[in-house]
Amino acid sequence: VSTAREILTSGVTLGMPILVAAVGEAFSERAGVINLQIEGSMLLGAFVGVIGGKATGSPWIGMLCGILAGVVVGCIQGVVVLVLEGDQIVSAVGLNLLALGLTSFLLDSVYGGVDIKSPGFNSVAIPGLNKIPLIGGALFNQPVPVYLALVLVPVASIVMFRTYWGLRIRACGDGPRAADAAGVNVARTRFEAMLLASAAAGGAGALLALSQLDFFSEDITQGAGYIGLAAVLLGGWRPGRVALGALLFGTMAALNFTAQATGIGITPDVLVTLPYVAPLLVLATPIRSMKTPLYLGVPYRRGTRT
Amino acid sequence: MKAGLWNLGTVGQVYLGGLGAIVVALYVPRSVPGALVVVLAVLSAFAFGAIWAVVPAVLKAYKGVTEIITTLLMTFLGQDLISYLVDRPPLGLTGAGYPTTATIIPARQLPTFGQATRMNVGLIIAVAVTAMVVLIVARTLYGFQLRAFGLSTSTARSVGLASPRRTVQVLMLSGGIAGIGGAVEILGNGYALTSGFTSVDGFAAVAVALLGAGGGLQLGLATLFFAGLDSAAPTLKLTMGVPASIVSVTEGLVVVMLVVGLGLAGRLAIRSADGSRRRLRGGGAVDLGPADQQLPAAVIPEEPERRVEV
Repeated sequence: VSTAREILTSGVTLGMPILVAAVGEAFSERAGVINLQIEGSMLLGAFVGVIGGKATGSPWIGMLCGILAGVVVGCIQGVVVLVLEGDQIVSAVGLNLLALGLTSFLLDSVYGGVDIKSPGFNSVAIPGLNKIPLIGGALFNQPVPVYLALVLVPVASIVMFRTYWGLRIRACGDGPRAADAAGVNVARTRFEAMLLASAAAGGAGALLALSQLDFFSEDITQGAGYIGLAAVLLGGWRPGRVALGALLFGTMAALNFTAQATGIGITPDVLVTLPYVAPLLVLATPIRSMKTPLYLGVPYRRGTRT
Repeated sequence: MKAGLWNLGTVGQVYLGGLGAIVVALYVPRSVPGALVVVLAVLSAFAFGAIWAVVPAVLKAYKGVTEIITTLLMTFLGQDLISYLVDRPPLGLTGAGYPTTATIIPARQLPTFGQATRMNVGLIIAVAVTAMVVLIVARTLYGFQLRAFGLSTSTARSVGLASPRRTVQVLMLSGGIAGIGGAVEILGNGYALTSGFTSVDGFAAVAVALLGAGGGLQLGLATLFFAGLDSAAPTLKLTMGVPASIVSVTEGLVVVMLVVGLGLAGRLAIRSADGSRRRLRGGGAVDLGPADQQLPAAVIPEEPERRVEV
């Protein structure tokens, strides 16, 4: 039982950055834009977050810096894809490459290749709730940003399905032409959704670096952004389910670490692949919703037939 | 990718191709002539690369799971698999100080052109494969079907050209070609499989494919450019003390700039089309396939040019 609790606890910790990035990305994909560059946003967010945290001594300011870094990446992608009408996938691959290169380069040249350490968030137990068997310790003995993220999931759900802005976003992904005809500025709405996704990804990167590890090392995200994208698919673009998917993937990753630590007898080389195998396996099962936004990944250009 | 499908998993397929090549090159009995072994190794690399593309291909074709993400996830798996295999017997060499396989005997390495350069027959393979892909896509019935598939999934489906089987086929073909890239790297340059024998190359490949969308010549030039950047990395580090990662920065920047450039070019093209504003865009509305591209395959990671160093 203590092992199970441990797995759940670190599952929540590991899944949280994926959750934040994935829920943000769900908005963008609902609007019809895929953001492969959230991997790069996360990486840069983690880097800038740690530097900000180190410089100011406050993980909160670090977090803010991380979010800003994510927004910067999102702005670039937004301008390239929505204003200049470049290809979103290729541009995102380029940005990911850029983020990986830039962070590795700065780490090497400015910090001598040594991991950058920063003060991180401390876990805060919520009295009473943390005594719930099994999940109490996992959910209610976490750093404050984790609580914030958990609260934001239902908020995200309400925004997406119960506000005018959410409706506009979904309209841009399901029928940009109709949305345009109805007076929605498609490019602008997509840009807004992308910025939200990028901010979330930047924050997620900072969270990854500041709530678990308290340092930055080369390529620290290790594809967490891509796993987030898989969580969006799994959750069928619904914030609540996407969040659950992210936590599931986080738990898989936790299984890897815990099993290594306790020596269950499966070789660690098999276990390290769990975070990548799990999304593949889960996506192959029929449990996910199939309602893809109709115009996902399709550029919209006024006055053309699509 | 020529058929409106995205293969972002070239890195993983290059790894697997390398594995396919090294297994043949190390374990085929000594009595078999070297040239034959090289051919077998390249074929085996093609098969391994293709197999690595099966999972995303099947998921895409029969489950509608976007190949963009699954191919990326397979890349991480491929890297982990290779790291695992080279780190222990039977494939891994114990006592080398770092994880690696044994070195291929010279008779089974790709011959170089003369002593002075490290340029090798891989160049010919690369050019041949590129030319073949370009020819197939541009001149054959199969290529026509692929292009139709890429331009409009719904149309292609209604005339019977698009099928789940074709999706699988195309992605596997792409994976196989990437696998050949791995073989060329192993047989012509590395001579042994190590855990990090290719890294950024595959990502660059996607960019190069886009850049080369115009045709074979552009593709070749683009490859040369990125390979040049990659090969400059170690030299830069040695001579100027600049970390090799700066190359990724440059490559990333170039890719983004290119996308901007192509996007702008697309806009201008529309304007110059005497106001008729006709342009093929997003044909198959449901499909993710960017309609106006027929990226000629992911041949790129082989970079034989890399060996032209002094």
